[in-house]
Amino acid sequence: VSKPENLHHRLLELQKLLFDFTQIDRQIFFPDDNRQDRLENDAEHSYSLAMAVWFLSQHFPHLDRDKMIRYALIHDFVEVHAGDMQAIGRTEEQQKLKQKREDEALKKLESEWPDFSELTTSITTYEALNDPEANFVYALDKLMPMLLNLLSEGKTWKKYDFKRSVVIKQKDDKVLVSKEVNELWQAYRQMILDAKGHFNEDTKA
Amino acid sequence: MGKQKSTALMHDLMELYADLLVPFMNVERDVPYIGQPSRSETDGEHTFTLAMLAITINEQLGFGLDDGLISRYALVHDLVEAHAGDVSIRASDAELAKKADTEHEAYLIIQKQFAKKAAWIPTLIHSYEARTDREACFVYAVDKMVVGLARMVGNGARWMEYYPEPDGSLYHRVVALLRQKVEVFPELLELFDVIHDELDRRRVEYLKRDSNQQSKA
Repeated sequence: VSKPENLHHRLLELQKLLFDFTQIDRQIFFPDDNRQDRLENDAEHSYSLAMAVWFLSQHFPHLDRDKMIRYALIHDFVEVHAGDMQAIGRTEEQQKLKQKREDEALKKLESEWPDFSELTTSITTYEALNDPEANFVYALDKLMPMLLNLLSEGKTWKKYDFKRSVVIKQKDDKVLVSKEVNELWQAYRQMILDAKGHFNEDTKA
Repeated sequence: MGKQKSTALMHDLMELYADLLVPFMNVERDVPYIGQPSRSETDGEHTFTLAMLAITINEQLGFGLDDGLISRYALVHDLVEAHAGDVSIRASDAELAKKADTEHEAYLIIQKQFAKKAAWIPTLIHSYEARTDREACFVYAVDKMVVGLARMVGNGARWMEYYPEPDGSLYHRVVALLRQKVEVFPELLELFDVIHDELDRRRVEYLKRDSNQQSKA
């Protein structure tokens, strides 16, 4: 247990780290009437995921709600040092590089924050994907950009000229780890298939 | 779950996102964003930060509170602002007096929309506002404390615009008001004082810096 006069310096450092996390922009547009080019950042994404997890958890009482909220809050935290990388169209080499960067980032967090072991332990447990809660959060994380894209009529899909089939294939593979989220994905999948004008290919034809 | 239920759930999740989370995350607070002081911190950024800091402080100071409940309170603590907007602590007395009514109206909108789909949202907002348990009091008190941390990490950006008086009279009034709010969880007062004593020392430098910049301009 820390004393308040010692803790405040660490809290300042933690506040700085959390601020750094808010500076990691994701490659996805966030709906904002005042800033058309606004990208979602990692903190906003983690917040949304935590709320979505909480929202859905009432339908899956066999899953530990608070554990999933904790996972959602920290699921991308290694990116504070590793940065974000576009998920769709990532090559095998880029995937390896991402993994390497994130492993190093976790080590850095562990060495910088030995007094905040709950954070790094939660990250390690989440990344091991050894419990249904981690798998649920992992799979739902893959669905969140779909929501933003559907709400913005495919703004990001169009910007990067993604193909509908590539987007769907990438999600088909990723969400399989959670049968609960996979069922939900099937509904989104159909919506994406039915959506008109959300991909450049819709207007090129 | 079945196709029908999945489809209904998908629409509910999109409604949550479109009607509550997106507007909420676009609310700008009266706090300069650390890395880019020309813009303000958003409610989404603030909420994530508060959740993480609250969990840490509970762990570090050994309060033994339920950290799941702490996270949930932090996630909803400002959610009414999706409809009510942010009101600065520097606002006029009239604006501050109106705040409670505006936020209650916002709460009723959320309650009406989500009473059936996610009753926990209005329920948790209500418990937080009523501060019926120690976790709610704790999150409320931490929320009042983190602005001081953010101001120091942001190196007191735009200090003169906020607190122009050389004697710090407005600043001290704001701190006194915040401290009064932290009293709901008295165990945090010592930490609050440590943080604000430090900020008070730095305040003079921030003001001097901004004053010099203004003279040069």
